Amino acid sequence: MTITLPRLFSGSATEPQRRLSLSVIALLLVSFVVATPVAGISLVQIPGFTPAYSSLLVVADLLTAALLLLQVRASGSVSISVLGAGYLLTGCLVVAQMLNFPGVFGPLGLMGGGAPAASWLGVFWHGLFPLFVTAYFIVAKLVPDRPGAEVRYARSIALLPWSVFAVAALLIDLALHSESLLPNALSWTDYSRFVTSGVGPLLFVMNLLAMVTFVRRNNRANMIEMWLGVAVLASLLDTSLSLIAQGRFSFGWYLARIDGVLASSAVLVALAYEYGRLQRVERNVREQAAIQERETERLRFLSAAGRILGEFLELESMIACLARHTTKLLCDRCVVAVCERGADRCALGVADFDADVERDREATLRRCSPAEAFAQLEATRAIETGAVQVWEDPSGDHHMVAPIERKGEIVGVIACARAPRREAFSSAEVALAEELAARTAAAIVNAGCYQRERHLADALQRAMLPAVLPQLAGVVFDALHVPAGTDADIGGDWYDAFELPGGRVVFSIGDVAGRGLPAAIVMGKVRQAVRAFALTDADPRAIVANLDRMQRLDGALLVSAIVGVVDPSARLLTYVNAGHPGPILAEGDELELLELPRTLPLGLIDGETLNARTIALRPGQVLVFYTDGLIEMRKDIEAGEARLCEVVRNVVSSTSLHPSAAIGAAMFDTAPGDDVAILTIGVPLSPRTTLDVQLPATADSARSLRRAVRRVAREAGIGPERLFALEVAVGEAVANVMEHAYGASTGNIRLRAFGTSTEVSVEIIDFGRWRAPRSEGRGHGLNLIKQLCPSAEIVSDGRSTRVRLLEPIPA
Amino acid sequence: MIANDLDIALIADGLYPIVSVKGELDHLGIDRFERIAQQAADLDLGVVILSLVDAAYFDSLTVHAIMAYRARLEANRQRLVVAVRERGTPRRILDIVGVTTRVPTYPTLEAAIAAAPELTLRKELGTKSQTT
Repeated sequence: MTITLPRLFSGSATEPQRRLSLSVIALLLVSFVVATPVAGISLVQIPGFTPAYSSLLVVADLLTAALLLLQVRASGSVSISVLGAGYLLTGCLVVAQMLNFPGVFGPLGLMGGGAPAASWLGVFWHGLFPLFVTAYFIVAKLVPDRPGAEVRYARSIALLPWSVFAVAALLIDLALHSESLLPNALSWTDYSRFVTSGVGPLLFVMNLLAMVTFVRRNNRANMIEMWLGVAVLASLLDTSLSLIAQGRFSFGWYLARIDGVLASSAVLVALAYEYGRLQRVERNVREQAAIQERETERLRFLSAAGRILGEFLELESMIACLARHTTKLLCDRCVVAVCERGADRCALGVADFDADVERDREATLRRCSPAEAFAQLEATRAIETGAVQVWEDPSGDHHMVAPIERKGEIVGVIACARAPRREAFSSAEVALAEELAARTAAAIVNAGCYQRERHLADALQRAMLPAVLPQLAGVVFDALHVPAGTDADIGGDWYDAFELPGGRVVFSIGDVAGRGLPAAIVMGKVRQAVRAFALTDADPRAIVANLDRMQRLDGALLVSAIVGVVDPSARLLTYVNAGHPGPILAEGDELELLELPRTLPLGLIDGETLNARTIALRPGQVLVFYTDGLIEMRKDIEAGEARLCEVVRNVVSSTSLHPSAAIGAAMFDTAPGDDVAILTIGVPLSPRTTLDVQLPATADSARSLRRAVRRVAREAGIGPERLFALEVAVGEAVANVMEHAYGASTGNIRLRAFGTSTEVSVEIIDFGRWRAPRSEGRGHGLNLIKQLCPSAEIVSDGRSTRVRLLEPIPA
Repeated sequence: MIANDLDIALIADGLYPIVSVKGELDHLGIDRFERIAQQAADLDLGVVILSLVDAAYFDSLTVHAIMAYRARLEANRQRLVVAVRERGTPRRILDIVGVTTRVPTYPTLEAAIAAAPELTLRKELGTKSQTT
């Protein structure tokens, strides 16, 4: 931050200053008027008067000159440089005068000039001082101070004192040789010659001129100029009294010398006062600047925090970033913990300058219940009082905990800590933490709204997708749908597969151009139309021809799709491609891109001949259908296709018959910018062990179902450790159904398990309505399922809820 | 070979009672477990050792029962010690739900028995118990 301080000679004199200077002026004038009649009275010669008087003048003039020239170096002011030069020259001449004054250092002085030189030197400085003052006022008017002048005139400023010394040397030399070089206008003893020679009147006029220029300037005079006016008046009265006085050591002469001292020292006193004032001003300005700096820092911190809180809509990401931001600017470590009512874990953002400590702390906190987490953060008091708490622990660490309050309820805390070497949290930082907590609370509300919208959109989209794919012994269907991550808009991508009464399976995958509700409606309509048309004629060509006619009737949006039929018993797959990316046929390491045949998108076919492709599926083959969002993620479709082929080769060669999730995970570095749908159809290498049972949801059934899964998994070759894990996951899923889906009411649990030589898949299906846990302290079931079986997913279509578990069998 | 049928035994012929669980401890066996565990607590010997070394199955309901049992014991100034194999899914389940951070856990029944005297709350040793 740049601080601009006021300078000397800036600003007008204040009224008190003006009154004080005018009082001194009045006093001078009164003393002059009173003294004039008695000015000629001779008084006793005081031996030490002249040295003392001259010393005072020298000190005052040279100090004033030094202060003014220092100001010139800082400001580059031309007018002040003139005034400083005047004081410096006066000081030099007074020094010379003192050195030549008879009787001070010897009869003829140290320089040998004696009385003539001393007289002329006195005339010089008495005349030059008002001349420089006059010049100062004129220059101040003609050449105003400008920023940067100190740089522009730096060289001249540096040379100025030397120029003054040179002029002083010339004048001293002139005075020393006055008898030969100057007229005989002065007499050491006869003061009348000082008047009659015209030198005295000339000095009077020069002082009067200076006084006039000051008076003309008076209204705009600053504080120092006011006192410069006092100095000029004192100098004028000094000259006037010298003219009136009859000789040296008269009353008038002594009074004139006192006026002379005042003329020399008035500006010095003013400068001293002004420096003191400027110091006070500077202190105030710096204090203000420090306050402003803190406020700027505060605003900068809040601004960045506001950006974070506004930028992230997902709660965990938001508070993680917020914790990092807070650690960077406010403390050494920070935890932002947010816990919605009823949640068994807090959403956490943990940051620490030490990455290892951060990781350990986060791991510890993530294992804690909300109450335990808040206890670990020592946030209990902040939560109870609803106010920011600041304290120092026995190790000297400084702590601050700010509660996050939303609608009168504490939903989390921001806990900050600093190492002992740093200062404690200030009241300003407490206020900052309060503000941050308030903004976080608002952002949590927004994030909650976003999450709800997002879940709603996801739920709507999932409702339009099949809740379950056909489970057949000889053909395995697998699918994945990933909504776009950028906003809550629903997309138009879909996949579908359903079993016809005769055992054949009709499948479709497609993409409606555009996003939002219109695209979703068209998607739902086309998907349902496939089902309807397939019931009357399951030939893919007939289905696509009907879809095309339907789209031509009322379709405004472009729709690409693949519609096919699988005959599991014959392992024959026939499909028609209407403007959609061709599928990939994978078998071990070998891939084939089935680009053709392909016709126009739905609505544009208009009677074109539809060519179908029929594939005789062999064991180990997997056919991968997808929507273009999968290959357009990198904005380069060819690169996307190449990447997809590589991923499919890797995933399928690992012999999985449920490759969709793995393909999606390998393709997405981040959430996709467009919806993605993947549908795979594979033929297992070996016959499958299957299980499909439906039992009442009771404790007896739970054990039976678990044991049935154990049998399928054992036969498929799962080892004892993974068997235990899968069994616990199934047991927890069944227990959840009994407790949360049905509660006190009755209902059935359907369990489907499929085992091959490569994997075991299990589905636990219920038809109840899910509700919150009834007993306190439980709630580990879902966590156990996810931890023990990472592939677990829970799908609900409103009518039923399915827990899907997939356990791969290591080769 | 671990048996699937549930066998819960209270072994009280040593310094401290041992509740030994063999087979599958699920919904159907939890009442039995709680009854036998309470008998062990009633002996009031300062420490109860729960052996899950031979458990073929247990789930979150079991974990909930164990934690509730531990709370009852500690309210009566007794400690619960668990023996569960060091590696494997049973131990992992206890880790996931946080039992191992709250209850001293040992990889064998012998280790749990050996550690028990040092863990009794009544001795008020004031030192932290060592968990493995």
